[in-house]
Amino acid sequence: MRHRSLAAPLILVALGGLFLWRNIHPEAPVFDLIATYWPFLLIAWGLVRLIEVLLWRASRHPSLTGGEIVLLVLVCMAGAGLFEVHRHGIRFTPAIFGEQFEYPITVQGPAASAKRIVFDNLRGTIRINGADIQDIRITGHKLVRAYTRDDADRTNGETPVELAIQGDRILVATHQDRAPAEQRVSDDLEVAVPRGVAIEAAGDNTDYEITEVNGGVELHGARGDARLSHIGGNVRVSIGRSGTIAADGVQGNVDLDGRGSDVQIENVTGQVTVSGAYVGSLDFKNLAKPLRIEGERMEVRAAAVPGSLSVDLGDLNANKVVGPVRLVTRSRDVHIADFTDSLELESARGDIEIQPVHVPLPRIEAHSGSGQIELVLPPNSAFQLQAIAERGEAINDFGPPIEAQTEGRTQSLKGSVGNGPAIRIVADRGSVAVRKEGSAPSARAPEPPRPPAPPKVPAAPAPPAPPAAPAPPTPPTPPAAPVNLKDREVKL
Amino acid sequence: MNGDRSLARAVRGPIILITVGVLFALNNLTPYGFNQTWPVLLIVIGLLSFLGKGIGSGGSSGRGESR
Repeated sequence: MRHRSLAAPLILVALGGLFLWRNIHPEAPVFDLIATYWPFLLIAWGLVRLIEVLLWRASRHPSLTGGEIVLLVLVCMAGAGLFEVHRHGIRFTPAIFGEQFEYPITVQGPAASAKRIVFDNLRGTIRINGADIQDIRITGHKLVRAYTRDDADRTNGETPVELAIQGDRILVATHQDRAPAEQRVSDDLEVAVPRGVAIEAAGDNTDYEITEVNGGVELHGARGDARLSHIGGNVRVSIGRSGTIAADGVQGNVDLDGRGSDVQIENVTGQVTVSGAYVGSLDFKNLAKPLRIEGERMEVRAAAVPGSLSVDLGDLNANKVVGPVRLVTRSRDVHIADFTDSLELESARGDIEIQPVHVPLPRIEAHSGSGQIELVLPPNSAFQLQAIAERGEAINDFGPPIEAQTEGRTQSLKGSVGNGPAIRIVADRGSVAVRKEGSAPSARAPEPPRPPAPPKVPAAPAPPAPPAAPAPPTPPTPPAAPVNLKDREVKL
Repeated sequence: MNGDRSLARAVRGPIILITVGVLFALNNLTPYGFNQTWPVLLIVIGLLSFLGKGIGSGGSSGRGESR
């Protein structure tokens, strides 16, 4: 006699009940409860099967069928996943429920003596524009999510946007915390303020857009984006999880800390400090004062960035940077060109390309754990070189003044060209190359001279595209036979 | 005897299932994470197979070992 297990029908009943509950009370946090309490399903299932086994010991069905085990593994994976998502602060309930009702907002108040405007505890968006006015004008709309219009009307009445003047401070309160738990209020505000004020805002989930404000800007929040332009004072943004933080044209310092994705900072006359973890792309352009980035796995310091510096998951590119420069990264390809004073570079994994462009050369110290280092120097450089490839080849374009040594698997280059600063590059695993600007950078030509590729010669009449860097008008220097051949070929 | 053995085997699955459920519940509701408590599973599986053997290999040897 075979008994069919009761577990499956019981689970079906439980699932049906849960969904029914969710449909009747959409605001109930059913999925959040499931995320926490799903293991009791396993316990109940196990108990049901245990009781069955004990009751029907005569029947010979296996304790758990194969299909059941597969299903259980799926349940465990789904449950654990759901719990992780839940634990990281994502809630399933705010999914669309009820209906959305919209109410207009217009508030106005005198702000002639105000120095600071504070926005409190807001969900929604704030767009602030500085203008030549003597008062504060707020327009916009409020969205209330509720089941009935009556509910929404009542909530709207309880959550007015109000201005409170406290000395030289104006507090803009939205009273969103007065809304009942199952309703959701968000305000989208368009705010015109006198140009001279400072702005301070704290929000749960707020997007900011602030332009033309001469005071400082201070933003705090759990989530949200911030776009600032033409700010006269210091900017401080500390948002727990941001999508984009952009600042363009800041007269003071910029301070970011928090977690998020993209950061774009341009045209800043003060210091820029970024700490925290931003996993998207970070772009910096035209910074007049020091830049400091301190991330979990990265450190960047520069005295100024007249050009650009960008970091993303796989690359760090810097062009036109005022030193001393210090870069530390875990696993990125690093490309730095046109920098002054000194460079200190450390990369655990990834290729490094260093191109100082101008003479006299800056001091350079670079170390890569695994990845090649390529140093491209102007032809008239003066420097004292020490280059070590612990396990790889060492390539030298500067010829006799620099001596190559091979010791076991380690190749190294040592020597001085003229009288210049110290350059020390070390690759633990990977090659090191000291190139002369203008020579083909990809040619990995070692000692034996390679004959130039024959098809290139007939192609001479049409001037071949010169290599990326403009060919420097220098007298051809004697050493480095193979590369020089190519050099001349290009100049023909 | 044969019945005991198959019973021990049949009980194994549900008991492991309950253990897993308890561990996940601890993971979700208490500070004891699954990454800390997983050895309990090994212990339970070990005990169960020990139990199965004890019953399966006949009363005498099982009892002899335990004494």
